[in-house]
Amino acid sequence: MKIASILAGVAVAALTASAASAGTINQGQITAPVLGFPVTFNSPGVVTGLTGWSPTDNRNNSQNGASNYSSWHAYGQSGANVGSVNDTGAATFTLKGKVATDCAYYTGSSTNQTLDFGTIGIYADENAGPANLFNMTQAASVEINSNVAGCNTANTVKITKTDLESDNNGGYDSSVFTNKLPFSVTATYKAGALNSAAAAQSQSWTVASGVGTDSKSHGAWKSPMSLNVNIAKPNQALLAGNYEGTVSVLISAN
Amino acid sequence: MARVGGLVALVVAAAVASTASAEPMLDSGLASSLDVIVKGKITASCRLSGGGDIDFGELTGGQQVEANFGLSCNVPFDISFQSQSGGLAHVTKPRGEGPFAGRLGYTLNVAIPTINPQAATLAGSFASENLIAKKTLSSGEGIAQGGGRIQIRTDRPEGVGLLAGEYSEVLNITLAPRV
Repeated sequence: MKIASILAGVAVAALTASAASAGTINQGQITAPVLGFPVTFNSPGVVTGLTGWSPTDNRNNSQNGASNYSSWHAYGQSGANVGSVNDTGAATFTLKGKVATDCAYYTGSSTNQTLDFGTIGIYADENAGPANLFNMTQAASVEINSNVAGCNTANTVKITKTDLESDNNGGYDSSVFTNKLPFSVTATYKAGALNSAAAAQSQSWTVASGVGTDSKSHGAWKSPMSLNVNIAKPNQALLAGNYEGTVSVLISAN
Repeated sequence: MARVGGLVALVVAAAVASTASAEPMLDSGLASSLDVIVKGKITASCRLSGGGDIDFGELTGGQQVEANFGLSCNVPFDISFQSQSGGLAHVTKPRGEGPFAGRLGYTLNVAIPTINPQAATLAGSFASENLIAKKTLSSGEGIAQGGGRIQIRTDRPEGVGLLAGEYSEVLNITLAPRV
């Protein structure tokens, strides 16, 4: 029962902190006056075989140099976590952007261009015969090409035309003469169908003579585009004068 | 007379016995010491914060944005990056239409300062199309010094350009301690 052996017992009873708790230490030993051997209890303990002796009693006794009973006691605590600890975390970035609608048909510095055939040839020689006199000598045609046409969204290509018409108001026998030159327009370009993501195929469609307008819808497309204007020879003789007509193409987003 | 003497002797003996029990207990020649082992545990705590919306406006390609995020981790960690669409994708036609592309890729650059115990930087660079499968950076033995930064640089549009419309992408960053 020497003090030296009791102190050796204390060294063996190492203090540990429970990982689960916020770290309260309240433990010790006392050589029980009745039992005659050290009784160990831990916080907030119920002491086996030592009724009425609480950890608080043992802590107080361990500071009492005049006590009849030897005891040691360790008391302390660590602070709890401030805030919750986490084992994982996540952050999400949402990226956004937009692309503006853009439809194009390149016509240079102006969207209006004048194409002048100059003289529309007619048979002006009386030796041409009555069926041919004043008739158009041959069909006229012009091909209009642009290497930039298309739209970066679903769109409609619309072609509208007005027949060439003479400005001669002097009157004429409509059973023999005509003052109009109708024509057809054939548009050719590469575009796909609406809502199709497949590779586009070449499109070619015609707005016939006598038809004022027609249109086709496509998914986004971009390609060179040609407009082939074909003025067929009318059956009737051509009234003299200056003839003027229009062709317009409009590519617009749906 | 003899009985009285015996009784007295017993009392004396008892008195001596009690004195013996009050002898000093220290035995000279024995050293005494106290070794106390103190243990504790600090819970691993890893926390990631930040995120939000990054709006590039009109997508022209070659645009660059940087964003910071909060990061603290008191043990070595793995940080992972995953893209939902492999780039900024058209919200209804991610595969594009005609010759127009429906996705704009980007390069993600990451820089995270660490302590190992010297200051170091955990860095990575990823193409967005490669981030559909999660990519992970490991801090090795280092812990987080605090914070991290991402830089996103959009590519030039492929082909004839981008389909008109709205584009979106979700980039997820996750953190896990490595114990």
